[in-house]
Amino acid sequence: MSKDIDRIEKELERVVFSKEEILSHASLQLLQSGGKRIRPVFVLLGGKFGNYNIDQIKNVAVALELIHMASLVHDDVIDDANMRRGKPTINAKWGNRFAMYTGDYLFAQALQSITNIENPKAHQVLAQTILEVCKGEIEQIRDKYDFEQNLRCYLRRIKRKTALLIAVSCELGAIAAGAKEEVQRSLYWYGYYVGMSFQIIDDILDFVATEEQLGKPAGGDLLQGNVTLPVLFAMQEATLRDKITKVTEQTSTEEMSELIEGIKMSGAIEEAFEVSERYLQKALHSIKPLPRGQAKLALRSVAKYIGKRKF
Amino acid sequence: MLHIQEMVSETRALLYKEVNHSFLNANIDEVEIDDIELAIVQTVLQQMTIPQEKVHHYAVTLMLIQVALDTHEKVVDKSDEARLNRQLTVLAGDYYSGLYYYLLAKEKDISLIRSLAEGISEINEHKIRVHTNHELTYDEWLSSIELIESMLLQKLCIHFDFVTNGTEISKLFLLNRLQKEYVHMKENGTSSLHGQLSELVEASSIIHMLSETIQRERELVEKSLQDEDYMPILAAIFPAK
Repeated sequence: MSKDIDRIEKELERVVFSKEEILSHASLQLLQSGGKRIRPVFVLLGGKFGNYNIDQIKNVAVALELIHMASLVHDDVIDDANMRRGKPTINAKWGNRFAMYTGDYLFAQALQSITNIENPKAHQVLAQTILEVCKGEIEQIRDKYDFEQNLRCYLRRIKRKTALLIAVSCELGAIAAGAKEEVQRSLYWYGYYVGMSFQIIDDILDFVATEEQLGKPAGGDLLQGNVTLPVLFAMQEATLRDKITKVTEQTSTEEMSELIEGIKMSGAIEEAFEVSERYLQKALHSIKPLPRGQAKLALRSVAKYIGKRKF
Repeated sequence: MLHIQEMVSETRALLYKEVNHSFLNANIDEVEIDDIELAIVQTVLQQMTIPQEKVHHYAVTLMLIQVALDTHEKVVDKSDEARLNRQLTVLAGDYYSGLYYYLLAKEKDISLIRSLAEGISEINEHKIRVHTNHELTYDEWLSSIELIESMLLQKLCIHFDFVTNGTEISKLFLLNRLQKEYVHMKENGTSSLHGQLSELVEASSIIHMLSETIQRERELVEKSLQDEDYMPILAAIFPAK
């Protein structure tokens, strides 16, 4: 497996190469800044349940990682972010316009990669997912500082923001390997539940991890108006609700620190962990029908790792 | 031209239906569709041996990509712009890109997805070239602008093995862009290409240089353009005063 991940890494480096030196440089910087490559891993694992051929499957893995990279570049423009994983963002270094071109270039390179897969279903699944992800991002902006939103709204948002792309990573790996339809479905649901859990943990870590681990101050999501699961649970307590609903971009660091402590003390973190755990159990349940073997064990380990990750 | 105008109106309506999104509609500028670009695309598509119902499909797809790329052109580096507008402009462009992929995937046009994606990559390489390379000559800059404007239709023609007056059609796209920039510059003193041009030419000579280029390219197109279908387009680029 690690040999195949290395191949994907090399393929990514090859695909982002451009005759415009500065574009190659920017893309490589992003590539080498140490992403988790979780989507390619899920693609490869999904592929293990069919006729695994790395020369075919790598096209899906590369495409999904490039789509993820393109969205990161554009997200940094959206958030006006200056740093990503400890390095200056593309927009900070070369400007917003350059970042837009780079994101569009990476997305186009991703589509070229995935077109090496000739099964139309792969494209229909991916295209539908991309649209959903975009709608999710637009909704996230629409819902900022909307403290009246409910749990359902939050779950739909994280489904579109994170879970769908992980779900289709698993599913597309299986499609590219020609796995049976029911196997594709099981893998989709596994990825979906793992993705939901992954995002909930991410939202929890925003409160409990250190600034060093996060690469940004704790509570940043709430400060930006993103109402996440710990916030929704904390708002069940009237005093906390009152304070949370007053948060704006101008809220001071001291006020935020006090609020983060309040949320941590309220039991909201533990409640959010429980929801995440329930999704992980569902993920493990959905792969029960899959044939035994190394790949299934790996899917189990990944799900368990996600439940325990600290940053 | 009347027939083409009808086709343009129909495609335009279909395109607006595709990009319709209530939150985007309420918060960012309406999608701009260049009727002249659309007329060039429709004229070329009409000459291809493809079924009539596919003509709209390809025209909508091509223009969706153009709209996606043009939307991202609106994301500027200025920091005083409205934040919500900038955020949604980025996402709208991404959404329109997703839509074109979705339309082609639905029709199982996988090899066309590839051809057009190659075109988009090349367009963005050229955009970065003109945006960052301060050592370009004026002619190199002009050649990049021509490619940026005409690449998508070129890719579509290659995909369908359609042999056409490629050079003249590329020049029509170039003339359309330059003329728009020239008019905008005359009226407002600046334009979206003004920044790039000021790196290549003395600020006081920009308008003059642009005018000369338009004149030269227009004469070349008028001399070489054999196909009468394109004459009304040329006339639309340069409407009588």
